[in-house]
Amino acid sequence: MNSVKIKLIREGMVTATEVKDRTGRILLASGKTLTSKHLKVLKTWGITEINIMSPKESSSGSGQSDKSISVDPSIVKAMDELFQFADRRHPVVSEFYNLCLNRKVKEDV
Amino acid sequence: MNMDLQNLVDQSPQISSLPTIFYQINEAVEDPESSFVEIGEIISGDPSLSARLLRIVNSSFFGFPNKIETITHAVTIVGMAQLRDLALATTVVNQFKGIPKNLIDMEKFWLHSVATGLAAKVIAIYRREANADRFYVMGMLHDLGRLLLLLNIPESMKTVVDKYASGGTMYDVENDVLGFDHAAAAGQLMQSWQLPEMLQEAVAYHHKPHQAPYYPVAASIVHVADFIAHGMELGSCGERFVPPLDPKAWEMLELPLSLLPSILEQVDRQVGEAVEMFL
Repeated sequence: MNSVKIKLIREGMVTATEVKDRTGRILLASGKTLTSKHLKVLKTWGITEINIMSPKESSSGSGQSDKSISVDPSIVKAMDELFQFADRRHPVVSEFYNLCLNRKVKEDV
Repeated sequence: MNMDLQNLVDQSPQISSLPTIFYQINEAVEDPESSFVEIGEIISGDPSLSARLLRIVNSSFFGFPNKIETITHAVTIVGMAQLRDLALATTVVNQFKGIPKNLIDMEKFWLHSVATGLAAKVIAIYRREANADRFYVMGMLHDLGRLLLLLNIPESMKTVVDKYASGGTMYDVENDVLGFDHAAAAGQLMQSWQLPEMLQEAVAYHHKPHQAPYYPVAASIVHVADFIAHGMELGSCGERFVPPLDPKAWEMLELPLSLLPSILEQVDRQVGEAVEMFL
């Protein structure tokens, strides 16, 4: 089971859990194969990510694809300093760190 | 400690209370019998405030398709409570105009405040909170205590700044040196301004949101928004580092991690205009 972002969801993927909206209303059952109609419904209700069954299809967090790009070490050093009091073992902090780093690298270019 | 804080607030009469116009607006908004026209008339009594509010409601911050020409129109379209909150934000910014440059870079300070306000508003919208603009105001005012401290006890703050240079977070150093921090000071200031308790708590507890007795969610929103504004390096409130994130605060928001990129995106997109609008 993998949590996949809506942008990366494609037709044919299978839901691993029920999909609920913010109020807890069930939009899709577990084990459903997604069709284009489902995707539309999910987007309409503002669903941002859902759990998908097949591990092969899984996609990674947003930071991953950018890691292969070489980053100026001075930027990384500055970012590490900026985040020295934030615990980067926490998933939110680590995702946020990556986002900020990407943002800064883009600004630099 | 509370006594000390009260004294601190009372020291500067020009900021220990807000202009009476704000209280008149507030009273009218709270009164179920007052009409849009009455509120419009009260605000129009202060031309400078009216001009500032019209500039705000006509900016892309709201993105209304047609130009809003009068305050009465603004009240009907934006809402009474929202307009009061915007009036509060712009009144406070005005109140603190003229702080000497050598104390703090005010442009950077307000940039940090506005960025925090925007992040708080975006989070509030994702959480489907009623009146998301209220959270903008909370974010915008969250570090006001720092200005109060710099204005009223500049010598002690110099000790804080010197000690801060050797490490740690600034609010920890404030607690060490003064016995309270800028968040508590701002809370006291909001209390003497008789602002809503939700605002007082969200500001006073923005570094320890889970301790907020009645409004931990509001405090958590400001806490996370402050964390975001620091990481994005938008402006500065004197603190040079990203403050630690309280994991409980994030849990309190009940938002998926996948929203984070779009929060950043929206803050980035709006911050330029929002700064110009309020300053």
